[in-house]
Amino acid sequence: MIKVNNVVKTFEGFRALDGLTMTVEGGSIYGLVGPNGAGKSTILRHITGVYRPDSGSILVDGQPVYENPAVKAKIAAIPDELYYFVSASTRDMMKFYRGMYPNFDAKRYEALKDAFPEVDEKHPIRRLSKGMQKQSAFWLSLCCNPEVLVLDEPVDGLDPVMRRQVWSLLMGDVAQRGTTVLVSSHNLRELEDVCDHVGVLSHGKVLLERSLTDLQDNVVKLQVAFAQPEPPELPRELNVLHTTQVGRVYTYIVRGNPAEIKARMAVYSPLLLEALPLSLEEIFIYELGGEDYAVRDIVL
Amino acid sequence: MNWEVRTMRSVTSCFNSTLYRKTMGRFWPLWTLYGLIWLFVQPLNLLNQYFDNLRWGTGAADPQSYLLSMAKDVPLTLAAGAVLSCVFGILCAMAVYGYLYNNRSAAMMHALPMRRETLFLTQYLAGLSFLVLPHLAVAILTAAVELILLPSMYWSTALSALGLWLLVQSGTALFFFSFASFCAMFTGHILALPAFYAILNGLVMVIYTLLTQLMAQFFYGLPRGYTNNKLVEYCTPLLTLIDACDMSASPVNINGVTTTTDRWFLASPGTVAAYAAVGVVFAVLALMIYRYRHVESAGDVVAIPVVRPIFLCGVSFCTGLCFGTLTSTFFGWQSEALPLSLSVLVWTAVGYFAAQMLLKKSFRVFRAWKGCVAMAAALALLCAACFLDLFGVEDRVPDPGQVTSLTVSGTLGYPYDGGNLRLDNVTDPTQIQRVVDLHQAIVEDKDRADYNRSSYQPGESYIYLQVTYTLKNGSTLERSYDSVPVYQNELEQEGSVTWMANQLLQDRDLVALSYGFDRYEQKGRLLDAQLDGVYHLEAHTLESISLDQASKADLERLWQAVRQDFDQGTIGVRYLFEDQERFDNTYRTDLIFDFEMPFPLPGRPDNTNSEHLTITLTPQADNTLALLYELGALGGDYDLQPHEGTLSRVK
Repeated sequence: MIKVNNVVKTFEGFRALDGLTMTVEGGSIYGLVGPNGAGKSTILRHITGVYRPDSGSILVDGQPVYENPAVKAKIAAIPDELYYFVSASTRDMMKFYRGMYPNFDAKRYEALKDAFPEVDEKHPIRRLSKGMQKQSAFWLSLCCNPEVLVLDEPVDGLDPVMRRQVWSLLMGDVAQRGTTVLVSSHNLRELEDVCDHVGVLSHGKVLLERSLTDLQDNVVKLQVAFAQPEPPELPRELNVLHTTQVGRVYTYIVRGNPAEIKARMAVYSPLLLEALPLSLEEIFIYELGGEDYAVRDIVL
Repeated sequence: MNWEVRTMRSVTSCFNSTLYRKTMGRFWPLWTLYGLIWLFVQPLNLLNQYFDNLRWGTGAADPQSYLLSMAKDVPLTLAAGAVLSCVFGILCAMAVYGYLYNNRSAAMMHALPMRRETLFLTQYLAGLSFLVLPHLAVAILTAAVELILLPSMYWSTALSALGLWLLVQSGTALFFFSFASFCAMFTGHILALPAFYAILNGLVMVIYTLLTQLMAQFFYGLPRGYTNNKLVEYCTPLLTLIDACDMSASPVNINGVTTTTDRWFLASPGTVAAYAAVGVVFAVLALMIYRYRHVESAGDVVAIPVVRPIFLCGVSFCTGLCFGTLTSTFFGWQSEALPLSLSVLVWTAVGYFAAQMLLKKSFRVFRAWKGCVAMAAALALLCAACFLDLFGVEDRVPDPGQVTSLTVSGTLGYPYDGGNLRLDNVTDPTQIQRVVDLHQAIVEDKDRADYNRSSYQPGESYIYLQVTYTLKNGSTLERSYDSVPVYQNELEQEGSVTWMANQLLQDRDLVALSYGFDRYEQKGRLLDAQLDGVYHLEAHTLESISLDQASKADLERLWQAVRQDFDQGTIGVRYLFEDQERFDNTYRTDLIFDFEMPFPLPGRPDNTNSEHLTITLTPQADNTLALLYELGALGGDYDLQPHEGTLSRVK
């Protein structure tokens, strides 16, 4: 659905995107994670057709998105910093978007009123709280019936109940309409619950891009207690990313197949050997947690 | 796909009605305010005047005539309307392109499913509508008032005046809004937009004035300040359009009396049309720049990267010239090259770093000192070139053989009447030679000129001379000399400035040309005469006496008497120094003739204005004095007094 190929973008000498390449499958929820300044918002603005890349291409459904109204009509976006016309209410913006987006569904707008009960549709949006403004943005975006929904820190400011509500609506759209969702967030626990694909950005490049299952199957957290006081020297082939010790229990973060790693550790006859799945947050930290996020050693 | 469908799709893609309506709706206070101003100026004013006249007048015919004259005066608001267009043009541009100056709004608007052409054209048309739709509404309301209250025979006169207002006002609005749109594309900061707009509206004239001002401080004789330059004026749209929108009534002569017709004429409709066309060009250029512009430039003072070096150089150059010359004037260094140059260089550096601060949005810009040094070096070269006069500007005196004609004016001798040197279009080779010789003498004597001297020394006086040569190659050369010293002891010293100036003064043909006797006689119509500074014997005051009782024939006789005396050399004699000879041979009384002279204007070839010829009376002007006594202007309580000695008796 979305193909970003070797995109470069420079801001006054600073290379914000440095040959970024990524692919988002149609009908998937793709989570974009990365440290501050990695280029997440920049690539999202390219994908929504706001920024023009210095080089490279961005295709949505095989069509370039920049200056292509037909493609942009399929995309709805919620940026990290929302903008509404001064003194415009949710209803005013609904009328505006209804004239802009050919797939805008006014009936859905009425139907979704119940999903966002706290938002007064006639109240100026700028006077709403940050969370309500976000709700208003979701309400309007969903009514555009987009084929691609681009979300930049979307649930920031929403209370837990509303977060659940919003994600439920989004996943409903994905399931029923095949909407493709591209979401950037720092809330990795939340992404873990909803994303089926994840891309990790650093310094304007995608370092890692795969399905969440693959990602989680590729790194394992082992808790081991050895019989002897000092731990044995582990084989060099084991790609240990991180080691901690609490009493006699050692915790290893190891890249590789969990079953194979567990089998190799078993030869040391430990008193305790337990393999635990890593959360997305832990994967993010360990994958990028090297020196200054330098992850040269990561084998993709 | 058939033609109709393709056309429709094309039109649809260039304009978005939703966005247009939204923009019109969002900024309704702006166009409402603009419309209200014109509503009060045009239809409500007509109604108010009509009903006032109806209430206080004597019958229905008078208010209608009054309303008709008011309706014909509608285009008189056009000059003020040009200023209004200029102000509202930038306000409208700030409104409709405001989304470009904020990251969030820029991202939101550019994510909408439309091309930049559509976005620009829709916003452009919306902004233009803010101005033109109120014009239309006001014109319709004004027309309704006129059609209802005026008899049908006046309709065409009233409506044509209204139509002229609508066309011209919309033309100026088109230009100023398009120009503001053009400026809007260069910046990413909403406050920079009006600044750019104001600066670009007067930039050419300001730079031209600054340059000439700077050069005048270096070069002896170069005219100071702004001098007429058509190109400079055309590049200063507000001033040119105010002039072009000026309205004047056409003059007619009824029974020997000049009055005006009831029709107004626009000073220069061609200029207004040309600026409206240029407005369209600006709009197209704005679109081209918009297509190139990066959305991420929101917040930058200069949004287009290639313009940033130009901005940097422009700001430092103008700051250097402007504040450099101001500082030198403040400290009195105008004619001192080194302090003046240093002042210019310091301000150039200040301007450079100020521009860098604006571009970088940071005060830490002093690392860019190399650019500052380069800029200062360029200005230093300019100052050095001026100081050393590398191009021979100061010493340039044209070869008389290369001069086609010249215009010369100056304060050259006494008395203070119409005989002061003021000659247009001098083509006589001998007279050209005399002026060139004086010019050459002044240049050679430049070291004796002292601008700082504030008082005369005994036996010295100062002359002022301004001369403009038209050369055979079509170019012009203009020089202006202030406070050129002349000395009584050099009156007989051949080749000195004093001797040359005196030669000019004693040339009766040149003096006759300065008074303009032939010009007035050939082109003018003598209307009246008066005496100024006549001594009242009882009241001991100097008074003015009008000769309005004199018949046309008497006035003509008086004119001929003056001419006869001039030919005899008894009146109009010029003196280089205000010495005893001048006091003894001139009265304090001036004879003033009023003439009606042709003064054609664009579209009004028959236009006239009044001019006055002043000539100081002398004891030797027997013919003139005799006729003045005969006509009763002198004699009785009034008499002439010698120049000196009167003052002590005057109350």
